[in-house]
Amino acid sequence: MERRTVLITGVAGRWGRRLARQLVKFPIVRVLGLDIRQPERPVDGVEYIEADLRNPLLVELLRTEQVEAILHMVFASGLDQRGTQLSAEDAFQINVMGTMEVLAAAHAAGVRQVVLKSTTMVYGARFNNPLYLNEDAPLHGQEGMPSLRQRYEIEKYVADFRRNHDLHIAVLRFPGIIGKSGASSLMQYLGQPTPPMLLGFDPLFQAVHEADVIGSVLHAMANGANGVFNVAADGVMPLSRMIRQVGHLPLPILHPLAYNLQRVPGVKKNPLLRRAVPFDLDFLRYQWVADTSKMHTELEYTPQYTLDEAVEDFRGALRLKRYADVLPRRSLSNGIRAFLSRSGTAE
Amino acid sequence: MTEQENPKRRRRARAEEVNGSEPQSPATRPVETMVDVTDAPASADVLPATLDAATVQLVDESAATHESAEPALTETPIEVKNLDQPATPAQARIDSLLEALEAEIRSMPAADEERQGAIAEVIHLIRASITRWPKKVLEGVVSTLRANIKSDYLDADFWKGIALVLRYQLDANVDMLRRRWNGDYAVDEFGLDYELVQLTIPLLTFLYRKYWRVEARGLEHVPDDQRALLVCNHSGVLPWDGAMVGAALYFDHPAGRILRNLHLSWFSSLPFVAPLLSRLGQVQALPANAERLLERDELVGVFPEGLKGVGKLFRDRYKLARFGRGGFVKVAVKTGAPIIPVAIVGGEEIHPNLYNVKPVAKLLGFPYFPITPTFPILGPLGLIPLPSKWYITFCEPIETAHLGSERAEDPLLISQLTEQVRSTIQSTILEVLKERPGVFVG
Repeated sequence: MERRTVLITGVAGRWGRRLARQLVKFPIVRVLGLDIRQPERPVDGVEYIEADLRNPLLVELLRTEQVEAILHMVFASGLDQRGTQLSAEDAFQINVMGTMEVLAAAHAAGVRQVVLKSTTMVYGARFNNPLYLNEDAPLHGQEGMPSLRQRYEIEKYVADFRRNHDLHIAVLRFPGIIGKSGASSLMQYLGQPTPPMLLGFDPLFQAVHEADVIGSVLHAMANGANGVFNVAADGVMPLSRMIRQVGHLPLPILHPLAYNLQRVPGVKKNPLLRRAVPFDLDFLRYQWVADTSKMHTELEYTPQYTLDEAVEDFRGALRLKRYADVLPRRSLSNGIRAFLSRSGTAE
Repeated sequence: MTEQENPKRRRRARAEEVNGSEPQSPATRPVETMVDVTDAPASADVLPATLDAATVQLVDESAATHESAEPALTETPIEVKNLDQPATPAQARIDSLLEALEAEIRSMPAADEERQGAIAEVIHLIRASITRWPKKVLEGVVSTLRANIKSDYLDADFWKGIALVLRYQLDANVDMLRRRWNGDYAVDEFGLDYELVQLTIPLLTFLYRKYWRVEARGLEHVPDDQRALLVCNHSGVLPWDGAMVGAALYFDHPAGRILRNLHLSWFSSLPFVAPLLSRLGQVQALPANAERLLERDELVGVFPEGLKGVGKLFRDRYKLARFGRGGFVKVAVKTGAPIIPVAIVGGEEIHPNLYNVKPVAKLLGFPYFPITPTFPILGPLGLIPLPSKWYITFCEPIETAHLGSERAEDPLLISQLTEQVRSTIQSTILEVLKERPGVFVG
């Protein structure tokens, strides 16, 4: 039985690690993990490569290892591995230039499939958005924060690249991600006791469960999907309902006040305020719901969680968090896990 | 009042005659039970206790005061609470009102024992629920009671029923608030919240049935569960016509259909307006939205005149403005939805727009700033529409399914259909105007 090789870039990150953990379950798949840093918790069965993406040797690697698919999960959103703020220029280098290199190398090495993770925020929140934005809707991410601008740049580049190359590229656009881990901008926002809202605005919101992010990326890879797909849980709900269902209370803020406050220098970069509203204010004001019909018909992926179930899952996790002592502490088992994985490779 | 009463009294007297020499008048029953209650007051049920209180009063007729009634009443714990607590001003006022009322009843001619027993029960019921009812409801009840002291409203069962309904309603409202607070409600794919729609129904019913006395004709042209595009003329400065077409379909159509009006994009940028419209099932007027709605077999209402129609001057009333660029016809052809022209008569007179002050509109960012006979002279009162008589005519549908969706890109066909719809509405309006006896009568 010949094993098929999949390369996960950014394997030390949240999504890379989770994807790796799912992929190693399939004996037919050989998982290579590439990242600039060492993984904190290595996954058994993954062959780690510690290197920078922007490297001419990447083509060589893809060729000699006969990589069939790349799951490109590198996206630096703010902090680098040492916990310092990344400059916008560095982030641009890593995110946009990195993606360009990966696509170019993949094409040169004859890789069959690349899967990219993007966001439905690239459509931008605008008052004249249709209720459901399909994949052909114009992108307006360039007006947003730096990280969103970079997503937009990547999307533009991929669309351009697609026109001239026959590489299969699946771009999955996800709305806010919700689930158990609490580690996404939407969960950060909803997890506050009083998430701020704009007074008099209550847009319909959409979300996707973590499990469906993993599921859809693997699904797209396995089926050789080519194209752009919105992937979201079925259902929409007003933002205020989502906040209340999580068990928190929305804090309404006058929107002229909020917008003007944002203009004060330094406010946008204030980590506290950025935590409170981790995306542009427009996303709390106007609709940016994505149409998922293409996901159902063309990608043929059916999310495991509906929106209500996903929100319910997050609420459960929030409630459990109060009982900190009940949950197994990761740091305690880390050492043993590391030891075990080392002896595993020694065998 | 007494003349009204007399026949009833006579009837009752006759009934007693029929029943024979032993009158089974209710007044006798309590006198018998009164003995039991005074023996064992603690075990007494609530209602018999009050009946007794009333009959005690009747037995010694000299005392028209209510002090003698209180000891019996205080047996129920709720009473004790009400009387002992330093009452809030509103509650004290209601208490004093009730007391005055009671005294008034006691001083009435003693001939009608049955009625007096009933009154005592009513008063007890009110007292029992005094802590649960909102202030407004209580005041309303007391004033009704005062107004109808001598009429047939004073029937214990009637009031028991009212109290029950009020309690249920209060419970339901409290429950709804609690659920909504916890985010336990649902909106549909387009943001429509059925619970909120239900809340608007009393207002819409009033406007539809009483205020504008809307006459809906040709509702049989609207399908029961199929898609259709309703094209209406627009008028009235404030877009009440959309609400009334919706009300006609919801109240008078046999299937009680919900209409999704397409509204101006501008509304989606306004605070409060945007979420409210969305929760009430209104959708921004974009071809993509209309298509999606029609594909899900919804009824979609469009007002292709848009601002030119709703903001037109009074002297131009019932003269249709340009029908946009025919985008609505395109969507209908694309989705194969029949187009139903709808002619609304009466909407033009609710806010006669005499002059449009463009500079003020520009300053405020409004699409227009009208001068009407009542606005802005009367301030916010000027926002109250005039009570004209409305006629809404649903014309025969124009089928588009046989054309095929690819014809949507045929500009000739689109402009033809647009003109057909426009002329149908215009001629229907003229026909209704011809028969209309007056603006406000009918």
